[in-house]
Amino acid sequence: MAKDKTRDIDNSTVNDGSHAIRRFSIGDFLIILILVILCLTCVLPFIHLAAKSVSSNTAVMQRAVVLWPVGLNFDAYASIFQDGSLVRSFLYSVVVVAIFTLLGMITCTCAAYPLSKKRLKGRAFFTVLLMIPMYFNAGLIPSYLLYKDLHLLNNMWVLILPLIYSSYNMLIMKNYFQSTIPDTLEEAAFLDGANNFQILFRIVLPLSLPIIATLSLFYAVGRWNAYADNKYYITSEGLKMIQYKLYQLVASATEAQTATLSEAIEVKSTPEVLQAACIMFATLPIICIYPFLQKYFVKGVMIGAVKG
Amino acid sequence: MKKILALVLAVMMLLALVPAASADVPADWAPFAENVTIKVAVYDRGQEGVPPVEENYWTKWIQENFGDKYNITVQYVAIPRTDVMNKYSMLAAADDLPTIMMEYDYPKVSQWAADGYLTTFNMDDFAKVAPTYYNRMVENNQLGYTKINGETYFAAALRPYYDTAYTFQTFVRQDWLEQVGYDHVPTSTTEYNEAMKKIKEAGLCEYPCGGSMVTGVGSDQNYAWRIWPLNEEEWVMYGDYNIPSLGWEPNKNFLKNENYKFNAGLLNPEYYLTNAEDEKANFINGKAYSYAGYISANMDWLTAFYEANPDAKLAIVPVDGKIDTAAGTNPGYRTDNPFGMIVGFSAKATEDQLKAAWMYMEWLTQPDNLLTFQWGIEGENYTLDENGLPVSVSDYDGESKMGFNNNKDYWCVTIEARQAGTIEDMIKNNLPHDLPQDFTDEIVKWYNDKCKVRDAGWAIDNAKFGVAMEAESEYQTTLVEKYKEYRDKLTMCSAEEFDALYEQFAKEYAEAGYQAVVEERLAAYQAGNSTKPLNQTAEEVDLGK
Repeated sequence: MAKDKTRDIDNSTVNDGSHAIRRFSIGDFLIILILVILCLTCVLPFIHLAAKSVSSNTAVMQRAVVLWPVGLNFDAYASIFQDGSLVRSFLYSVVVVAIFTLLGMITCTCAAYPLSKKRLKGRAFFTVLLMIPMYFNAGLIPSYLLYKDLHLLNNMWVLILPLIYSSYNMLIMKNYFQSTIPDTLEEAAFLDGANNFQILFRIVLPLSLPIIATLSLFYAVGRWNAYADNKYYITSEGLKMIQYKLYQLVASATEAQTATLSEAIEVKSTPEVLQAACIMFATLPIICIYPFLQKYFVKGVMIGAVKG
Repeated sequence: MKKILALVLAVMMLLALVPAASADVPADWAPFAENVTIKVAVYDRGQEGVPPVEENYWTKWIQENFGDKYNITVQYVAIPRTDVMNKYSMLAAADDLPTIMMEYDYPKVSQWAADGYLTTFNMDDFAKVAPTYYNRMVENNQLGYTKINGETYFAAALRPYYDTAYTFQTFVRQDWLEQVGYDHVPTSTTEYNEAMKKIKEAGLCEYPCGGSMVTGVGSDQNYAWRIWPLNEEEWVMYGDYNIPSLGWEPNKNFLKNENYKFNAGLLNPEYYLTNAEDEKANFINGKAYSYAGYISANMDWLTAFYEANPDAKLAIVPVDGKIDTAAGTNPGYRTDNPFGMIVGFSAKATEDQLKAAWMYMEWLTQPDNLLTFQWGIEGENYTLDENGLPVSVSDYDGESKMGFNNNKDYWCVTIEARQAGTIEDMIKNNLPHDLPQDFTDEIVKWYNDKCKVRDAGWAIDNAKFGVAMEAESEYQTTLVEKYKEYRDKLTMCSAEEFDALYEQFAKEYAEAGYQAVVEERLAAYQAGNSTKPLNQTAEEVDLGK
């Protein structure tokens, strides 16, 4: 591997292309500039929020905090940890996301693997059937009634079971199996006496780690960020995921004015400093984990996308 | 000693609220033979740092002190405050509506009645089970709001001081006024505009009128611009504040004044980009003359203001009792709704559940129960001051920690505010005491003056309709959005263009649905399905400087 790298570098010095690398053109400058601006649009709001979360309430109300804290204090974080409900909610969300991702991957694999095999009779029919949820869904109230009859309301499983099957993820996985695992490999295994399960677990899955990592990430991030189902199906405070709590924090701030008018009394929203601290608290761990997972993310999407 | 004080308080509250009511629940209340479960709606506001709404110390307190005594199980159903109607639709679809449903907005509850969510009931039956609650409704003339199409659907909670609400106040820069030669706070529109000009000319503030974008509901209220004597039909058609009344004379005159302020450079030229939080920041940073807000024991923006402007002096805008002929304004003002929560009962509730729900409301209305529910446990949630009045411990964080706004979302089923002592006591307790200035006397005077203005007939309430208003539901969102666009153009156009532009926009607005809305309101009024205005004539009041 090290040798290959050296050879690449040697070649690049010989090729004319190296000239382009050394010369820094206006085009490069523009590209870098655009990239920097794009990066800043993501990073600056985050830094602004971080600065607010450790500033004094007065400074935040004065709009004096931009990218650097004013009147440094950590009271908001202290109250988050003291109160404990957000910390509990965070841990609970991690558990829900973990179970969801595990079950989601099992469901996805169980659907994608058979559908990727030509020997499955009625393959086209089942594929179409399993793609229907991608285009149609029952709507809010029928779903609510269904979950009620299934006794799923106000239950952790309502956040897990309804969404574990995803047509989109299943199609990516099916496509991956079809394009990457040669049929001959399977035939050889059959000749050696392996059955379907053995082939799946001992041959196909070990060869599919990139797509498993990617789809797991899709599942986990999707679940982590979704909150609408919390709003409709969960009422107990202890069963609410952290993203929903954040949504409530922010929504109550924007809705406070209308509510105030309707109630003819001030409806106070959570102070901005505490809001910022809550958002930081919920986001930082994800941001810390993301760079380590990102390599799978990019690789997996490319593998799943190109058939060949 | 504590018990005596609590008793004194309870009696005081009783005297203040329910002069002719009994102090106890009816003697014929008996526990149900079989356990009855009632579900009570409670707002979930997504606040950090308050106990979970469905189960906490206080829900258990209700169960132990009320539920267990009468063999009733009280359950609470969380209703997201930001998504009330959707949540109720789902609960209705699942046949799972709470026994007690409540809302502040009349259109919402009349919609529920029209959709069949609510049961009708006999008010006499209610009066037998809940005499204190019922008598209070009678004394406060609330029975008119309990019916839709002649059928009784609701009970109405009490909103004390609804027509003299003193909790919303406008704070202004008295130091600036003094610097430009005023010894009082201008109250009339003409004098206010002059003062703003002087402040600007003196270089104290670039845009003293400040300003912020309109947000829709409740924007541009024109009560001070109404033409007296009030025309009853116009009041019904245009008087509501949920859909701004573009095309009506008071709205036109109001916007003309905004246009004047804009063109005179008194209004922030970027007001349409300034949100409510930025407007607050502008005041704190000395970039606006006034800011209006609700008073409370903890007013963080006032604290921030004094920190940023240690030498500044503020004043409250006093009540004005005079007519300003030059500007076309008068002391007319909007009252709050003459009720707090409008309480309805699920169409699926059994007779026992209905009775249990009424018992729950009656029990909560009893002064001693209400006292504990509103103030908490003595020595923990509150202490008694030298006059024997309760003072909340604001940083209490123990077992009996109360829900948002002192458990308000639970006790709002009976009353809309905590009360203890005289109006002076309440105003004093409702203000911060760690600030360089104390506004108690000013607000007490404000309240007394407001009472005089009300008695002179200047209070205006909004029409309430006893039928579901379909055009209103259909067009409200569109109209409010259109209004935002039109009113900004009208504010920012030149004074010469104003009249022609107003006429054009009023026509477009009417065609976009406003005509249908006013016609529907008029039809409801003519069919006898609306309330009547409080007054139609009013007289000037001399309140002194």
